[in-house]
Amino acid sequence: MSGGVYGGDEVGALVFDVGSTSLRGGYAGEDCPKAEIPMHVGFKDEPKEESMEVDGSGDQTNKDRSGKKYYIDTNAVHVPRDGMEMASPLRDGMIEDWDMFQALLDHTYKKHIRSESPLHPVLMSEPPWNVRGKREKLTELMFEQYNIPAFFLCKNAVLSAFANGRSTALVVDSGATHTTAVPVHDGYALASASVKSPLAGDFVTLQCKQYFEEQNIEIVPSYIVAKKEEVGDGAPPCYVKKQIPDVSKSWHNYMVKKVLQDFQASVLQVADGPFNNEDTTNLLPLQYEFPNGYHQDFGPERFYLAEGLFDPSNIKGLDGNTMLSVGHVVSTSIGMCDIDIRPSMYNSIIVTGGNSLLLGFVDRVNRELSNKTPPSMRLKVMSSAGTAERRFSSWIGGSILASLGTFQQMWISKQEYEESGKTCVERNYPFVCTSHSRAAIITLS
Amino acid sequence: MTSGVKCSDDVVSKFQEIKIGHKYKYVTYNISDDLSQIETESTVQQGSWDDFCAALPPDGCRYAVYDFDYELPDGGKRNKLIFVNWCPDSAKIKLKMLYATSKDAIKKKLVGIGNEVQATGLDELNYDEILEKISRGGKN
Repeated sequence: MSGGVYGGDEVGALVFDVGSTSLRGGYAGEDCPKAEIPMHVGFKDEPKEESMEVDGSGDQTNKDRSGKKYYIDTNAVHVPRDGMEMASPLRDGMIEDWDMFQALLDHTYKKHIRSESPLHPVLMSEPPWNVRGKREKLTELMFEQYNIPAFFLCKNAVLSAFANGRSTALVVDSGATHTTAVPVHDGYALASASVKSPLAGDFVTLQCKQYFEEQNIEIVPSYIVAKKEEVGDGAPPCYVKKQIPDVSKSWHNYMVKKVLQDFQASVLQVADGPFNNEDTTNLLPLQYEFPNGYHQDFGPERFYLAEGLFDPSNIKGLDGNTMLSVGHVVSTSIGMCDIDIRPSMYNSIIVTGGNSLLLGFVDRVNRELSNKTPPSMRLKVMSSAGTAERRFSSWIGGSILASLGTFQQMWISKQEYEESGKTCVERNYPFVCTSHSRAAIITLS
Repeated sequence: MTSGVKCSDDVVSKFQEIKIGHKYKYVTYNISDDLSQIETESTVQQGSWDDFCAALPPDGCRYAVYDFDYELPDGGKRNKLIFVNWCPDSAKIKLKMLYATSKDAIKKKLVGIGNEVQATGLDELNYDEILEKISRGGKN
């Protein structure tokens, strides 16, 4: 980088935060990502055929790698198409389908960043349980395919902690697929003490889906509805269907999920304390109208459907399950930490992730944990107030970090990569060490 | 992980003065305006813990070293240095990030400090709690 190490803030670095719902990308130094692209990608198998870019909406990308045609970004994904399937390149938060992931990145560069990849260093987030092979493969991909000048990978939990001004904290991230608790000590994520539970956004969506099936309420996504008429409360909907192509099951499910997620965001609420069905008569019901015009009031369901997050014992259809509630995830994770750092973990619990935006979520976390905190320790639960800060906390953390002039010496440069190969990624990340070695360091110091 | 912000020499010399000479009651440090290094902001020779807390800016981050005197139940006098990492919730997110990532740089220079307090609000700087933490033997 010209101008020496302290060459100023402007290096034009890009920050990518890979989450299970969306890929957040944008320039470092800005306060929110330029693009949020759904992680779910539509694709069609079109082997060998030279298909032209038909529409000018810019939704299609490469077909050459695997003979698949990808449809990326909100606009392209929401169009009903004959035989388009939906899938996500991630599994368990880690990149599984590299072709698809690359298609996503290509799209981001082309449509949102609108610049050449060799001009910008890239900082990317990764889940704390990411494995070495994937990390190296990602490094290889970025340097070889995209020719980027410099690269840095950072645990998303660490970035969230930093964005809240803490280098030591327990980061509780409740996203779409997982709720995780990751202890961060002095800027190191203790991967082996992190705890994951599937009780998160998608789980609540599933609960809603089951509930509607029981109630015989059909969820009709808006793509089917041509026009609708006003009907009375709880009356059967009256709408006209649209002429649509033969869409795939996976795409239909995706669209249904969108409706459910909207319902979830606008109606559900987490109860203050353990919820029981009896004393809920005085709760305020909320009205919700589905895309097909059906509407009704939702009372106890509002609380009941989200209660599973905190009390998995009475989830329907999951008898004898061993899933951890949000409160348990936290206490288990802290319990796995070295005893010396437990007080500082209870003292700074950071709640983040899109699912934590459910009304009452943070208050309930606070309440659950106050019962579990040992009397000798102080509990402090923190969460940022703004929606964007909560959903993008790791992106924002990355954005600030990458924009610091002094951070430039930390990057892995292309030269370094060429000299030592993809393994350089391990050497440059001291914070991938296990909690055992870390614990040893702590005890020594 | 660190941001790469460096520590100026002055930081270390002021720390030596408080550590060996007990010349000051407390020293506060901040990161310079061009965000390149950690500098000494102020040195104060007399001041109670409350004065110290009041001196911390409500919407800015600081590092500080405080010379903590206390008595044991059996009357013995003890004296310890504590390191305070002050990052209030109301500070700008960029500042918080910068101070959190640079803490390692200053912490490494301040050799011999056993106690560290990470505070995001005055409630975490309660005198009695700090006293208890320190007199426990103050690991971590």
